[in-house]
Amino acid sequence: MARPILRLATRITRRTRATALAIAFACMVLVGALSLADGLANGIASVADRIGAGPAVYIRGDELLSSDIDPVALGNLTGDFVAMRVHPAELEINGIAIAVIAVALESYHGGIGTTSFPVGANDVSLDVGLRSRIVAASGIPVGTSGNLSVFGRRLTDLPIVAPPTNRSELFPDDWAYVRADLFVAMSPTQGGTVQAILRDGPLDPALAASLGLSRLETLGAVGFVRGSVAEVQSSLRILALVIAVVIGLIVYAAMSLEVHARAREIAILRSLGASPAAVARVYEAQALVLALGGAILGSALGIVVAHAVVSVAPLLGLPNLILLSPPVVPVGLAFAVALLAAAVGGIVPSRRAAVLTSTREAAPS
Amino acid sequence: MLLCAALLGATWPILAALPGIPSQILAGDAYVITQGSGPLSINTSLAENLTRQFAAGNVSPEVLSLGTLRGEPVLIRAVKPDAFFAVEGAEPGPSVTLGDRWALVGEGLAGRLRLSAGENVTLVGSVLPRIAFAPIAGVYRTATPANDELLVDYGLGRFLAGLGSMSFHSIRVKTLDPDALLAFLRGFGASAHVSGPGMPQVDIASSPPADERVANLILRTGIGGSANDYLTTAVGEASASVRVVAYGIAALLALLTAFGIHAVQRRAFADRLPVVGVLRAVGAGNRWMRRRFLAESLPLAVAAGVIGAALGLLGEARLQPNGRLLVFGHEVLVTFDPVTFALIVLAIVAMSTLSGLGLLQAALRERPSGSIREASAVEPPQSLEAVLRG
Repeated sequence: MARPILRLATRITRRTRATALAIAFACMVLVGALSLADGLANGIASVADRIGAGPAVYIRGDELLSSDIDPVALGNLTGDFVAMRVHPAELEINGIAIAVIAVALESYHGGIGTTSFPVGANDVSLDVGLRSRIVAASGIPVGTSGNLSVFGRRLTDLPIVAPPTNRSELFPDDWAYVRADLFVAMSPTQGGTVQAILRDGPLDPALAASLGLSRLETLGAVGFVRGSVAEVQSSLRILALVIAVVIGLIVYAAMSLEVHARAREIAILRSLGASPAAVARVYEAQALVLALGGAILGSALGIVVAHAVVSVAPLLGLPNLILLSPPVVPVGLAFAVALLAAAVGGIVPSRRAAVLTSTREAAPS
Repeated sequence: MLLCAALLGATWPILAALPGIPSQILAGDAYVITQGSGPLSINTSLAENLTRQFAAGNVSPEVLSLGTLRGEPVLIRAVKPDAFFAVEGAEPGPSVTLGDRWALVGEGLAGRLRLSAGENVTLVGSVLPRIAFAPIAGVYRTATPANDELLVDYGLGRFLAGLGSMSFHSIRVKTLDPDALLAFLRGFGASAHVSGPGMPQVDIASSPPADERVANLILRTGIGGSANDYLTTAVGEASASVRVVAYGIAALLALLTAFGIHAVQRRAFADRLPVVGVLRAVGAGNRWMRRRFLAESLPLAVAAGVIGAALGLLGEARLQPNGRLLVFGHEVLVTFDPVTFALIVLAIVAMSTLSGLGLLQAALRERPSGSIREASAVEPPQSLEAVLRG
């Protein structure tokens, strides 16, 4: 029974051809729009990779302050890098309490970490901006000792030393610097972990992935544009939902018309012994065949349209930041949407075809 | 038709709201003064003089920084809180105390990223690589796109934006007398672009914004080589780009729904084809047939358009808390717009009428007897014969 069903399902008439073309148009819109959005994301990534974004900063998760890199894993990293420990803290000095960011920087050369600054085990170095804030708040010059509270523990009478002599352009001037050992001593679990790794160049992506590290985009405008394009990409996915509804509607109307027009054929088929399920399968299969044909044609047209837009844009004076890649996801989505919508849209007409039992009932009104 | 109208009702208002977002972010409902092509003028001196002229609560000097927060794009705005709240009509959360370093998070952003007072967040520089941390002092609420932003103190904002210690990106002024504002700026000698509600952009001691794209300028000359008034140009470009995309998608959706409406009309018309034949056989003329068609179909199309568009709008409004649409890190705020609503109804009526008239025209080309005969509606049975013969 499969061959006759397939033969009946693949009959192409003017009506069904128009339906397939409408599905193809919908799929073309979907594939074209998604390909262009993906291409724009690729283009921006390509440009962003070439912009000097300063040192590469790696963290675990999406928030530097809650990142926790196992210090043992640092041994797996090659080349020179800086391990950064950062914790919000409270500094009591000059009779006032002020919220500060306490930072410890440990330089790694050949797998061995050293802290060059501050020198003393309990020293706290206050940067120039932080000193100005303290002076402005207390009205007196910065004292020579203070208390530091981190992880719920309070260390008293710590020596306050001079600001760092060479600070990276990446950092603001209002941090307090301590040695990594001080954090570890205060809390081996929280103070032991490293929050970020700073390198001159990027890490090998496979190594970064194996350590669960992701790069923190320190150039905000680039991250902002990337994020905005990602928002557009996710919004365009909603377009797929709209297209699914329209395809379902088109298929429903086309199949209803087909069942209506072929009512006598259906009645003859039934009288020759075709089961209701077999008749329903003919029209459900026809809906799927139409959707498949439309999706193939539409995807091909969508790819052509996307390439045409990219080729014509420079001629119109528009900057071309779009790098098209094989549109595997858009095409897959178009096929899934078209076939699913057609399957759903074809259910009612095919069931209606299945219940047509006699020639009189099948006669068009 | 109802379904198609609902689809347009749910999507077109969003698309109509999109192009206004960049200028809403920059200006809101106030007049915004940005740097002109002349000497740098948007600074503390101009802000102080404007404050004296228009009262402190009506003047908000701001520094804008594009960045990311926990991987999401976010606009960081350095402001004086009282002035910003007055201009935006925002309300701070209860018991907010600000130290010398602070951040306030908009309710929309706080909800999306699960931020709350007392937390510290990592911020990054805008056009220079930077890392900074800001303690969230509280949450504020406003009915404008600023509900998805992070406010910080000027020191932190300037560090992130790489701006000089006396400079601002923009000064927003809320006034009922824009002419007085323009006269003041002319007298002050500032080089500025001014725009605002109901006022086209005015260039004071400045050339109009360059046509050349900011991206081209930056790629050719580097970030430091861009024009002084790059902000105005960038906002104009962003608005134009979003407008093209939004209107393009709206047109494609209209075309898709037109396909859907035509498909349904074709199905409905197939049942009524013999009626057309009978009417013509008893003497109905083509013009009468068209009038009759319009009299029958127009009320239905209008009703379907109105009900469908209303259902779409309601559905979209119900989805809002969870299914929000974000552009440039800001939620697209959709309000009822009578023009868009009327356009949806008009589009549905036009699609339905054109499709129906097309189908009727095709039926009128047939002989009346051809429309009445049942046989014409059935495909030739060759394929069935082929099936039966195996």
